[in-house]
Amino acid sequence: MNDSSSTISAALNALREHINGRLIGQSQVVDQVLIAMLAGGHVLIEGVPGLGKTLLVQTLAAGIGGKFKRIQFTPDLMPGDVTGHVMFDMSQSKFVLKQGPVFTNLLLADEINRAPAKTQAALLEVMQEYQVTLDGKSMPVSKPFMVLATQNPIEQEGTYALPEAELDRFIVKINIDYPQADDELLIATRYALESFGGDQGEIQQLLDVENAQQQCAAIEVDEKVAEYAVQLVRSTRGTTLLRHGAGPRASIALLRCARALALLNGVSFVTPDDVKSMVLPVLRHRVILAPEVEIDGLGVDEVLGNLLEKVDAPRS
Amino acid sequence: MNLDKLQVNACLRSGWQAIDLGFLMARAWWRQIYIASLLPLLPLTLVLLLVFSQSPLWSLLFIWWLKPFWERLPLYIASRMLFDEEPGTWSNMKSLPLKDILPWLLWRRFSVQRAFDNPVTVLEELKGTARRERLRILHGRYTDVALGNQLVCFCFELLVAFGLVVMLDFFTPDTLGIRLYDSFGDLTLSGEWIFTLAGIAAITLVMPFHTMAGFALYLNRRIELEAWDIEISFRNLANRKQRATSHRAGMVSAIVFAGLMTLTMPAAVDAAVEHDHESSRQLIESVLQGQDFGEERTVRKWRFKGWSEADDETIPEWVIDFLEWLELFKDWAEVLSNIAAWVKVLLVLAFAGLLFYLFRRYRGPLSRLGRRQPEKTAPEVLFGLDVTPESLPPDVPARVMALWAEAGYREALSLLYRASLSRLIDKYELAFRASHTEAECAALVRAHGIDSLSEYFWQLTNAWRRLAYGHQLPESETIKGLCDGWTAELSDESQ
Repeated sequence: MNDSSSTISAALNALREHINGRLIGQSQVVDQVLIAMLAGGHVLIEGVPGLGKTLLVQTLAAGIGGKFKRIQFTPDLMPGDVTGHVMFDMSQSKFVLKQGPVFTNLLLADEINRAPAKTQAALLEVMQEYQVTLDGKSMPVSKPFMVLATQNPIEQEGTYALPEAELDRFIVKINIDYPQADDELLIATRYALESFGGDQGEIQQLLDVENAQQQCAAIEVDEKVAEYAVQLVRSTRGTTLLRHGAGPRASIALLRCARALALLNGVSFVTPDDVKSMVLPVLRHRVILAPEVEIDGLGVDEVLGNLLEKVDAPRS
Repeated sequence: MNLDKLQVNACLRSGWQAIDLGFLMARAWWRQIYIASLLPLLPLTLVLLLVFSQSPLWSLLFIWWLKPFWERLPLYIASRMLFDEEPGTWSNMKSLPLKDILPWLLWRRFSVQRAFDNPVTVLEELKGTARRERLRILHGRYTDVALGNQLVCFCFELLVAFGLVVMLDFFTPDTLGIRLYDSFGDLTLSGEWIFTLAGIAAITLVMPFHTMAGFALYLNRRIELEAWDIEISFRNLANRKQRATSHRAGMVSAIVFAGLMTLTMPAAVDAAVEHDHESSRQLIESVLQGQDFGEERTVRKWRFKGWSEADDETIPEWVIDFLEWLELFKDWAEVLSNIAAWVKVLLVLAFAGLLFYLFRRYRGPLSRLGRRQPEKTAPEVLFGLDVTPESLPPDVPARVMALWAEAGYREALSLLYRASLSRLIDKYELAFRASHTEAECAALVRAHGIDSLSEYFWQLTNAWRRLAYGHQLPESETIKGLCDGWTAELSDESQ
């Protein structure tokens, strides 16, 4: 790795340490969020409430020196509440633009599946194009921009499942689970002595995200590794275990995430291990289980794990 | 056999009523019958489960196959209890299960009337022609009912077995991690155990009912053929008459009664009153040798509904025409019989062919039934690399260094990596799979527990990955060190 890469790698490690110091016992989740950020994608986080998702985004925003906004999705939330709207200002006798919360760096879309499809779709443009069209005028959002949406796996009543098109916009889906007993003890003892959520104090910017993303794009991917990634994605199609396999966007996402993982590990090239490590977060929300498999009680991760075993790893 | 002590009401029953009687007998004498079932079943089951602990379904197959063996003792016990007799000594019983058992475990194993035919072997102890003749008389209109008994009990066995499996599956917490099937629908070992235990439980539970139902059918047929009900009625009447004559007060009524009986059933009553034992026997024998005895026939006819007896006298014209037409083929009867015999042979061959085809078609799954994990053989090609020991040069490090010196960097490191994989498979029997990445292979080596080997292989893997995917050449010293490491860890001389 060159000096620039080494600097970024060191900065990434510092940021990772900083977040792990506050969000205890979720290092894997932290890594995957950082990978998604380096790959320039958005994250869908699924987990029960109270596992520190807001804290994670707040800490990350502080660490990259960015702005952070949070939207609580509810059934009566309107698209304008997300993107913004144009309103008539009586004092100035003219229409003025009121920017919505999407104009930020890190957007936490909490419980995104509680809002109807129309409101969910308001995020489509900004997630894909990094711009918002208001009153016929397109306005870019500030960079870096990243949506971290959360879903609750329980309490499904009154929710609106995310459409496939929107799910595909998320580069990874992260399952966040309860921390281990030791970690939970540490969390309980630490936060019981502080005000809830703790105080971050003044945090200096630890990482230049745009620079890191450029560095990530420069990570070398051997042809065999790229073929392996594509084969892994293609193995989800034509199997009776899945009703719907992953599309080409999944192959792109898988390679981008593998690159980000290599950068996070301080390596300048992607290995098949990087690709294989990212298969579950990248693919689990892009495939649909066959009904009989669902009846059998198998989960997406289990089926993908089985499919992974059928794809030969490369030896370049 | 003392009919006076018969514990069931001897009367004519339909086949299904007889089955019902069998189930009642099983319920009434359940303790003795289940003990008689379990005595031979339990020890052998335990032995079989121990022997086939890795493929318990084989135990289930053996236990199912040996059902004729298990059914004998309960049948014997029930036959004794039917006449209120003691079961007898153990020495009487111990030879019972093995009596003429071989045919029952071979060609008679799939007899659909097993429970019905069993008493002829177990209780009457008939063999060969005598047995065949006896069964010819016993069968008849009960054949269908015996088949029904077999089917119903088989279905109940399935229901109980699958019911138990489903119940266990529903009530087993997920946290225990017990799964019946793996993700591709193959039974797991714990699944095999659950199915086996449920199957054994179902066989144990249903078998006495099946046996008793068959026995009751047999009993019913004997009551019908040998007129047990009439004999018992006669005996009761005679007893009552004897009691009546012994009391003066009942003398007059007894005379009247005897007179009445003499009028209605003179032979029976006279035999009871006037003949001694020897003369009775002679009388019975003479009666049996008469024209009305000595031949038993079962005649079946198809009749249209609503026909009266008188209609039977009138043979329809078309029947006569049909019979006359058949008469034309009288000379062909033998030919037709031969053709029918050949058709029969062809059908049997076709069935055998079908069985053979099914066996060939499903030989894979059938062969997997017995062994859970096929014997692993070392792969010859892995990751597209030839990993057989024969494919390696005699002196791997020397060849690697030579290739490195000739600027064949990739070939050199590839050879060293391939040789390491080959040695790990050959020497340490590591089960690499084609889907394993480099780090997963290294993790397998680490799991093997030899630290120095694990450390060496990790260094080699890193060097290989840098060259293969990062296109970064290692230093010559690194290659030299890896070659030395190979000699120390993986060569024939290494420990």
